[in-house]
Amino acid sequence: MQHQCLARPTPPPRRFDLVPWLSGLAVLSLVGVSVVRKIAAWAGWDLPRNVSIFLGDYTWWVYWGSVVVFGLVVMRRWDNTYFRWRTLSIMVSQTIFGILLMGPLKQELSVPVFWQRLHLTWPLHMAVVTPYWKDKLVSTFVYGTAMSLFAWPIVSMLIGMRYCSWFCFCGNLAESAGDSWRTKGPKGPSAQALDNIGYGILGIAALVTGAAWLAVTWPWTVYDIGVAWFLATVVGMGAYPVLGGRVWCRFICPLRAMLGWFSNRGRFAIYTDDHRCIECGTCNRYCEMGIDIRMRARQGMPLHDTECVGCGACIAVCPRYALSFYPFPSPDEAVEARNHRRFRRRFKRQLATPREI
Amino acid sequence: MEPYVIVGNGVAAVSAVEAIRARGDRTPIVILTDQECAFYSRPSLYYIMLGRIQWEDAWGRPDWWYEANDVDLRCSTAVTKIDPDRHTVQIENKTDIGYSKLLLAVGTQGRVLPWADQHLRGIVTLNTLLDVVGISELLSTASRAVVAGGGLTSIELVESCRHWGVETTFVMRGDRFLDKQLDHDEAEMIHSRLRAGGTDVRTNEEIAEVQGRVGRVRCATLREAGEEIFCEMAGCTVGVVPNSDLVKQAGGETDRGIVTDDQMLTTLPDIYAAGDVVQVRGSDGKPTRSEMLWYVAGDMGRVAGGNMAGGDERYRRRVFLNVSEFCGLDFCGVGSIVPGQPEVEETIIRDEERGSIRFVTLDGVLIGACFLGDIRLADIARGLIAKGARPRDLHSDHPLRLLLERGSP
Ligand SMILES: Cc1cc2nc3c(=O)[nH]c(=O)nc-3n(C[C@H](O)[C@H](O)[C@H](O)COP(=O)(O)OP(=O)(O)OC[C@H]3O[C@@H](n4cnc5c(N)ncnc54)[C@H](O)[C@@H]3O)c2cc1C
Ligand code: SF4
Ligand code: SF4
Ligand code: SF4
Repeated sequence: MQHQCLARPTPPPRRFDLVPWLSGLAVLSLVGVSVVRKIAAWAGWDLPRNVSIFLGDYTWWVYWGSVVVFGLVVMRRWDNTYFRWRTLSIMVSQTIFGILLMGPLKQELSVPVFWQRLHLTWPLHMAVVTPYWKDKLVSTFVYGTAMSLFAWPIVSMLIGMRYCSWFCFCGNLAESAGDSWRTKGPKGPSAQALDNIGYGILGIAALVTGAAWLAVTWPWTVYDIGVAWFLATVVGMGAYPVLGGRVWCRFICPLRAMLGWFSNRGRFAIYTDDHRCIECGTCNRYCEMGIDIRMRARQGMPLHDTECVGCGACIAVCPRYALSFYPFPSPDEAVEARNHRRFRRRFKRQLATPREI
Repeated sequence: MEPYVIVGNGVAAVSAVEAIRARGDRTPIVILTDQECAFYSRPSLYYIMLGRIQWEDAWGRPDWWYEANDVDLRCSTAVTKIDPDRHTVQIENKTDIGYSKLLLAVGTQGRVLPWADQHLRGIVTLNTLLDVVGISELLSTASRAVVAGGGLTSIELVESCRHWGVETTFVMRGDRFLDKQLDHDEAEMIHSRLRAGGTDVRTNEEIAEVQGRVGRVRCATLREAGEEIFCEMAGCTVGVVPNSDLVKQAGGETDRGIVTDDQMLTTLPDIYAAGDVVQVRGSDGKPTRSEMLWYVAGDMGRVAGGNMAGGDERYRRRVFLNVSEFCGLDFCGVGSIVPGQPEVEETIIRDEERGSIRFVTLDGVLIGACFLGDIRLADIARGLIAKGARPRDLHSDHPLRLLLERGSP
């Protein structure tokens, strides 16, 4: 009905963009290698040792290379301070965790086990809360449990799902290599209806963990192949060019579901100003999580959806500066800013136009 | 039961539908609009032309929204007459449609100067999505354009031309750009930036006539200079006229627009009006000036819809705030910033590079603030204006007071 009348406006001339092709190639090759390795493991093929080492290293280096190279592209492409800091944090965290502590260099650097497991988080990394790691009871099991079930939820309540846009492997690839397809996230009510699958997966993950404690291991194997490999790697990464980088994150990731529950009940929100919003819909287009930000902006209501991963894209693209991570300043707070350091800091941030946060 | 009929499909109409449904009223709604397509965001047209946003995004509501809200949308259906006694509206092909309550959200149309009233390819206004289709087609081939008018819409058109690399002459009748909101120096800042970018700005000037050849615009003649400017596009963006004829013919009260009370009810029974077309009657009984803003039309639509569904809501004017962006400068006008108002005091902080801020106070009370360049204090200024605060009574460390006294926050 809507499109019946129109010839479309001629868009201004666009230059050919190599980035989506390169990043697509990198990501899909990662999926391909993962499939080969999985099939080889299944079928019990005896790959020559150097081939299997090559495939393992390939995964790490191409993953890390994509994050760094396309991260730099993102920093160039997005004229936004928050975006640049966030992308830098992604690159640094993946260099430290991905390459130095957990990756191909861990033998050479003889990284202790505790450090290798430093940022693993249940239920994304199921082993953290299972009996398998009782060997290092205090150093990894207790620490991992505390991080997964207490520290990250508290962080999410305070500043949103920063795990997703600052540390997690999956999200970080999406925010760097997946940036070219940011607008492809499925929109609308039928897609949104699927948003809560993650809670189901979270429940299943809890059951699998419980079963592991009772020494029943087959659910573990099934979960590992079905969810952690097939859905996360093959579907999640394979769908980058068609459904955007956050398909797995949005629909399936159990950690997103868990942290989202906390973030939703915490302090984090995206504030909107209905005076400024002109309902142009650009924020919706760039939100990979398919959140209807425009509707909230039109009502002037703050948004704290369970899905929002705090990527800041909506804020960066709004032509009217109608969105912000901080409440729009009121005159009273301006006065309070004088006496309290707490207010002063917040006030300074409030004053930054969203594009400069 | 007769449906609610809404004429027009702008933001006022859509907000009214949402307000009606939010009150649990399931009466069917018919939307009649002469627009060829569904609701879209009109202020976004500028950003579409700049290539900043995609035109698909500007569709304000997806198709399912109309179904979910039980709205019968009839595009390309102009209403020609309303009959308040029989409770019917007449559409173009002379069919009557009955209504139980009627909402007129018909908005405005661009004022047409005599030279623009001829059939030439290349004469454009900027009001609808179809205009944007036409303009961007023209701009992709044209090399010279003339834009007449001195308002925000005019500069949006000029900026689009600049963006497409089309050389432009910007002709305005007044002595400066946006003379209702900017003072001389502020406007001069814009002029000099435009000139630096290669745009020819002509003040105190107008277009006398536009000539065409084989159905296309060929040149425009300036009245004062008598000069002929060759151009392939001539934009006419010289203000708007509210579509108040329907009510005028039916005998309702109109001024420039349709006059309503603060419940958005016109002087005709069961006929409401909302949006740009409305002038709300003030406390002194006189129609106030309409603000012609997106959020204002939304507010009015919500009030009208609430009242149609049996509520008792009143429209309250909020402090005026408009954001825009041109020549690389952000612009934000808050409150009443008409330059040269009597008895007001103006404090101006100005810097050629970074822009300018102007505070307007009346008897020590802040009533307006105009930001050009750095718009970060706009929200605070709006809060202060809404409270009727005096900058003098503000805390001595208040950023706004510091700005006023020292020239930096
Ligand atoms: C280029 C441009 C830029 C703008 N920029 C800004 C901005 O930056 N900020 C801002 O706040 N505002 C801006 N505005 C103003 C804003 O768009 C309006 O305030 C808003 O659209 C008003 O909405 P409305 O619903 O009252 O009317 P409109 O959106 O004008 O809708 C009127 C509807 O009525 C229909 N109609 C009219 N007559 C008839 C009839 N006889 N029969 C059937 N249907 C009829 C029309 O087809 C149309 O659908 C801008 C406007 C334009 C044109
Ligand atoms: S949603 Fe899940 S997979 Fe995606 S970034 Fe967050 S924790 Fe990682
Ligand atoms: S991008 Fe900004 S102006 Fe556009 S719909 Fe979103 S909040 Fe509103
Ligand atoms: S709402 Fe904004 S910050 Fe949150 S996920 Fe969507 S685009 Fe990112």
